[in-house]
Amino acid sequence: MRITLPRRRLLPAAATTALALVLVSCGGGQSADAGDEPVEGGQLTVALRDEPVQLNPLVDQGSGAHSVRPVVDSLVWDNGDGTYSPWLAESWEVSEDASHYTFHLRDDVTFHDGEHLDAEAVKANFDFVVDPENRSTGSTAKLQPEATVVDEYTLEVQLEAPESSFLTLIAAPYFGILSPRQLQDDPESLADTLIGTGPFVFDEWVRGQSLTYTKNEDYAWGPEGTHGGPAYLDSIRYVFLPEDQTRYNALLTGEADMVDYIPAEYNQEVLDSDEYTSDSFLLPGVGYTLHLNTRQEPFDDVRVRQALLHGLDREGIVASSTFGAYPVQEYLAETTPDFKQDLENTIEFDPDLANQLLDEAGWDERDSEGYRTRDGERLSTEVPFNSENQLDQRTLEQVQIDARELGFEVNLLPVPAAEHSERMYNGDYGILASFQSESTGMQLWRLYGSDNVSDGETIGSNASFLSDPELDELLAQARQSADPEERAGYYGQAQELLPELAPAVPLHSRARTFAAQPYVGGVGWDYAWPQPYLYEAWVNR
Amino acid sequence: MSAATTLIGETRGPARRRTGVIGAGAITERIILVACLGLLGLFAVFALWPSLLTWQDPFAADRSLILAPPSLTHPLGTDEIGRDVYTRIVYGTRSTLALGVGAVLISLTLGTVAGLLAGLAPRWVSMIVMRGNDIGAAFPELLLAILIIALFGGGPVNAAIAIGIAGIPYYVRVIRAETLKIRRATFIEAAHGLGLSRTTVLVRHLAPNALRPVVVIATLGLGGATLAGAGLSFLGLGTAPPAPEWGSMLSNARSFLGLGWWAAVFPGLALTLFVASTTIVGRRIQKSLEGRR
Repeated sequence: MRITLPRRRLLPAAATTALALVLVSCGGGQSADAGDEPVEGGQLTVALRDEPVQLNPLVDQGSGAHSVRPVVDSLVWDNGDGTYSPWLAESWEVSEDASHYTFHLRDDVTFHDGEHLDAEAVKANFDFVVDPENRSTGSTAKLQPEATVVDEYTLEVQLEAPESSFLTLIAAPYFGILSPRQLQDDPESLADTLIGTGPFVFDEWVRGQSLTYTKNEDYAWGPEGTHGGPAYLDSIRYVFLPEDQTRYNALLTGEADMVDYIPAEYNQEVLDSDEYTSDSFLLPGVGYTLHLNTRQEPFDDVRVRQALLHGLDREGIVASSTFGAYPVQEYLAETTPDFKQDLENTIEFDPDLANQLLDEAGWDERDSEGYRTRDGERLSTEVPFNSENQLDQRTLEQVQIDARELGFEVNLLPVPAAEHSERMYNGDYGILASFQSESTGMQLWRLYGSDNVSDGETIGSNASFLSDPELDELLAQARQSADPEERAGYYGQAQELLPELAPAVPLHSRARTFAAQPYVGGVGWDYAWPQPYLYEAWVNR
Repeated sequence: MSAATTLIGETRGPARRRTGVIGAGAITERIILVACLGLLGLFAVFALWPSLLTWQDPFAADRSLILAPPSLTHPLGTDEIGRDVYTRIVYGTRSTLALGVGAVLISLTLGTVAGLLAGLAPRWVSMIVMRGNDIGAAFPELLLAILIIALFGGGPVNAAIAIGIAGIPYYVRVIRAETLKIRRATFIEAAHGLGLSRTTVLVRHLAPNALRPVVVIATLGLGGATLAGAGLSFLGLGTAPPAPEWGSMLSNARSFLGLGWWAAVFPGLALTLFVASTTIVGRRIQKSLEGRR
């Protein structure tokens, strides 16, 4: 399906034209080029979407992890292709069943508070996430790692169950290594200040405005393949602009040197533009998916779930709601290391099959409005969604239109963010739409494994409440395969099985696109949890 | 607009008015009034028989025509879902105006009862009513409405109730002041003198006269209440998608001003025209009522 979109149009409304003129005249000022050689000094202002609720990356994988990478380093660096490079750990060994890891640490690393990095310091970080008092909800905590100090620079970690993706998880910013002194003496302070070993030092967080980091002059332990020494920038300032249009305008006006999360509707325009440098990364993982609550009617019937899976024109929905910027995906995004390239059981759009499945499930009568009924009851479900997220709303409105064609009523329920998480916790929804990204097939276990269902004490990440022994077995096999190919094989089988179980309707993979003014250079990617990596960035104004 | 006409009237001086010749200002004023009445009539048709003036389905979406500019098939363009903007404005009139009208009816009914009570009841009752009223009036209308929604939840019915309650204080003041004035008027004293019962005086003579200004404030208030309702929908607290409603249409389209201004500008224009029309008509009614007195 082709979508015709105006590229850049003259804006007939007088007010809008005036605004555009102001924007253009402001944006046109700088013409300096970043050049190929790094330049020392200067501040980089980055416009991010969400302000963190709190900073401590060890507690959750939420918004904090988007903005703490410059301050914290990890044990290993994820190369994004299933391989890893040394970082704070010089080398490591993995047991055959992927449940036991031994790390040999660098001996020349100091934290921003002068503490020395040794095995005890790293152990303090593992101890922090497993301590139930700290209520860590991250993937690392879920694995219950037990750390033992072997000697000053050697640490052993035993996992409760095998996990072949462990290195990816601890390479991400949400397992950034924090100062043991801060963790032990002042854990309260972690919410609004961080002491790590990173190339930048925490400076100031003015809530509602900005988060500032300054250069760490003593830094000499950048990940392999980088220049290794202190950062080029003097400081980084994050500003938070949740409104898509406002954030995009910050790029046009030059208010921000760099803008992260370019909205889908401007994605192509930014990538094609000569005025800005930009880069885009298709986020790996489970992506934007409609999770169907298998505990409730009507989705307790697998035929109804399959009907929705085949009855929605996913291509059309994704193309129109994302303005053609994001691709439609299967149960894993193509950029996920464990994605099965030659997937046979792909999801086909087949409305006839969908209607047949619904008839078989007993929803074969129609009411006056054209919706299907069974024993006088309408085939209907409810989707609570956060009304501030416009892409979500557009997508769900398109889903609603296709479901209507099937005689399936989908009610959209705009709710505030707080109520949204409460409903998620209680399983109070028919469909829960969410975006999930992690650079490993292990996300399939997090989302569809029966041991990740909410149990009243912990919030489970399995939003569909699916519990299937065959799938569980495959996921367990994958998690204990230290060999990447063997692991990918099991995750591949799981991807073939999922369309049969239909716990969810996968829609789009999301591209994380950033754009920067032409005088900004050296911005890379941290692939473990894909986000721009600013260590080697510079500004040449 | 009315400021400009007054200005013209003033510069021409009072001499002309005395001669009885209708000035250019008055003609403009009359044209505007007729245009406003026409617009309100049109909006009434939109609200009552939407299918009369559009042939399309407000929910039908064409995925290949996202944010398409105005054309013959889509006179006001399409929105970000691929739906016809004109049709959605027409069908959205009912829910948009229902919020405003519903809110005004609530303010009007409760405000009138409380206002009459405050004007006629013993002093201590009046004190309680008016102090409570002052507290309500101290909150900005929209803020009070949001507070009520925060307590009782969103949705179109709650939004109308919230705006209605938030609007009560103004009505109470006006009705009370009018009641106090009229209860001492000679014709009321005369009615008492004739030996009519208290109830008869209240129902037949006092209330109808005290309620006369209500027509004005209700008409003037309709625009404000509709705007507040659209404001709540803009914030996602009123109508839920995909129901067409001007405020939520504006809200959804605001991100695409650079890509498709029509999706936001036309619902905004409809809202502006409606509010302006009610205000102009309301002021006209106000003038004629004052003129008669």
